[in-house]
Amino acid sequence: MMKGVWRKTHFLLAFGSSLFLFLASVSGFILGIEALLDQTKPQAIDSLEDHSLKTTLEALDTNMKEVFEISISEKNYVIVQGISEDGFEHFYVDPKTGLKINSVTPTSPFFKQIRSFHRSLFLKNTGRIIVGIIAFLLILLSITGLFLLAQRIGGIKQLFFLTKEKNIYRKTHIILGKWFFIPVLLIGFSGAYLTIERLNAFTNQESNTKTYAKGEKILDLNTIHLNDIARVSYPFSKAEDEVYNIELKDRVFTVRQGDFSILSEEIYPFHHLLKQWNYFIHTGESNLFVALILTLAALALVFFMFTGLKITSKTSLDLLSLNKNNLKEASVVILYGTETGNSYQFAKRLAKTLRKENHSVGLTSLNNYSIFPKAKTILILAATYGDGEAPSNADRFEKRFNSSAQPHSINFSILGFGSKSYPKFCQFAINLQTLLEKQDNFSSLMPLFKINNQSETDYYSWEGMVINKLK
Amino acid sequence: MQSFFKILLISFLLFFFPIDKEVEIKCLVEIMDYRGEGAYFVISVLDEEENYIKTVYVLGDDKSWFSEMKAFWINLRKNNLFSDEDFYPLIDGISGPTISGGERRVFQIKVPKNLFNNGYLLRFETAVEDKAYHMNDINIALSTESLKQAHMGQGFIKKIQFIATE
Repeated sequence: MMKGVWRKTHFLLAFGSSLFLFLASVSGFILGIEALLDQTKPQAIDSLEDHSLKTTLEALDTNMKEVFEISISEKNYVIVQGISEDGFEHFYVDPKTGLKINSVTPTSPFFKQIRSFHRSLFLKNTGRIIVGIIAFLLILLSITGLFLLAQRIGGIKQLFFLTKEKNIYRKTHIILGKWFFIPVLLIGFSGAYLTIERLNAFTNQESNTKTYAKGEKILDLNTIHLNDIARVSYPFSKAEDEVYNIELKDRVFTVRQGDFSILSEEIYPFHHLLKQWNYFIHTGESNLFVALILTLAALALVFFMFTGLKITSKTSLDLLSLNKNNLKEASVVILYGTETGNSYQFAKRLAKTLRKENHSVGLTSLNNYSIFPKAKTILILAATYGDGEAPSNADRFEKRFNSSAQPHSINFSILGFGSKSYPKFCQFAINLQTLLEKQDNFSSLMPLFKINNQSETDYYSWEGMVINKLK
Repeated sequence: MQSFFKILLISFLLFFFPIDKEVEIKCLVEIMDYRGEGAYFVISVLDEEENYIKTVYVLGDDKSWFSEMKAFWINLRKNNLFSDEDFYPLIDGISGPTISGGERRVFQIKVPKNLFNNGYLLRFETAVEDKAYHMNDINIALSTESLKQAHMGQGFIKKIQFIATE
């Protein structure tokens, strides 16, 4: 039962989010490639923590006529704006030598478009909300997927063993699930968080600001390293009230010129840090390894969808046709009694065929027999269990049949499944035929039809007869 | 063809007239505290009748947004300067990234000396996606006196200060 719920939820989530999730995954994959490429550029500094602010400021002083601002991007680029020998410039710098690496060039329009698409599908706030919901659904998908997988392979511990599955699509789906459960969950979580943040959910939280007297506390530039820094703005002029603004990841200092004494310290609210963390988790922009995992995860999502679709087409799509399976409205009711599921597979096939013939069809097990208000025809596919007994989902049929009188007169036909190697071949079906014939308003469309060893040919000949009779 | 000659003429003038005579103006721009995309800027020198004489700086590198600076864009169209080949190389040399709400930015602009203290105007046009466009966010005299003061903006610019070096 529970297995059914997980499967159903997992499938409906995947189905509901498929189009947007596909677009988000593909664009995410492209952005992952961009992040990887960006980390291989010469301006990507891989050891920001090795450079103190002091050495960087000094290096820049010797190379520049004037510095306006240093900023450190999410991609670990150190960017300087200021005046060099060549005039006013905006460039990537080597923090150790203070020398220019490259001029700052705009992001390529292609990646810019992809990024905008990934964030908002070019639909501004509407798109942002859609993408946010998709990210949230992705969390649910990973969790239902994990439960489904754990149940299928018999427990969480089994996740660490080899997959026994034979079907290539199921196998791929399961292996990807094992490898990418955590990255996909994190992508969903951080994506949802970034959307909520972007929609101004946390504007009510205030920063905590402390002020200091001149000379009370000196900022030691040796203890601040570039990996802590977001931006350093230089004083605009030599005037006393013009100060350094030193923005770290979690706080911002205003610092006096000359002695570097701290004038104020503003500590950001917690959501500021949370945003940075989620941005990092979602983009991996500053770390080649994280970027690689995320890129593969985005690709994996595309494969999830492809293999999921392949698995789905057989079993889960029936879920969507559930609404068609309305027993109260059905004029043809198909009942099955099965022990191993074979009769059920045939019953489904029959339902599908009859729906194509424009009959309104209801499908259920023999034990669910009740009053079918609009039924004119009842078709029964019944296996036999053991010594001519009812299979497990048919054992209460006789009782229910006797207590539910149908409002219309019913035409019926019974198809019995069995094997001639057993002495009581199709005995349960024979019993049903007798039972139904005894009922006044039931008339048999044709004699009981028996199938030996699930013969397809025999099945189709019965099906053909049924279709003809129903015309 | 006409625009080609115009450019040729301008380049010719720039080349033979003393271009080293430029006033360097250091600008500190503080932006209003708003949420949303970064602000696009175009800084231009205008004559007394507010005709465009020279574009000195652009903030924002997404070219498709330049048309949001409507007065500037009309001028480009009027002078046939809006097609890629003519216009964008001019802009590429003088552009920087957008500034977001609540941020401040320092940059340097250069203005030919003959335009300085000569009745010309300095206009800052600003636009933010989905928010607004301000044609005269800042519109001040391009003179020593005027640049000594701090100016309040009419739109996205909160405050602007200058240091001019002649």
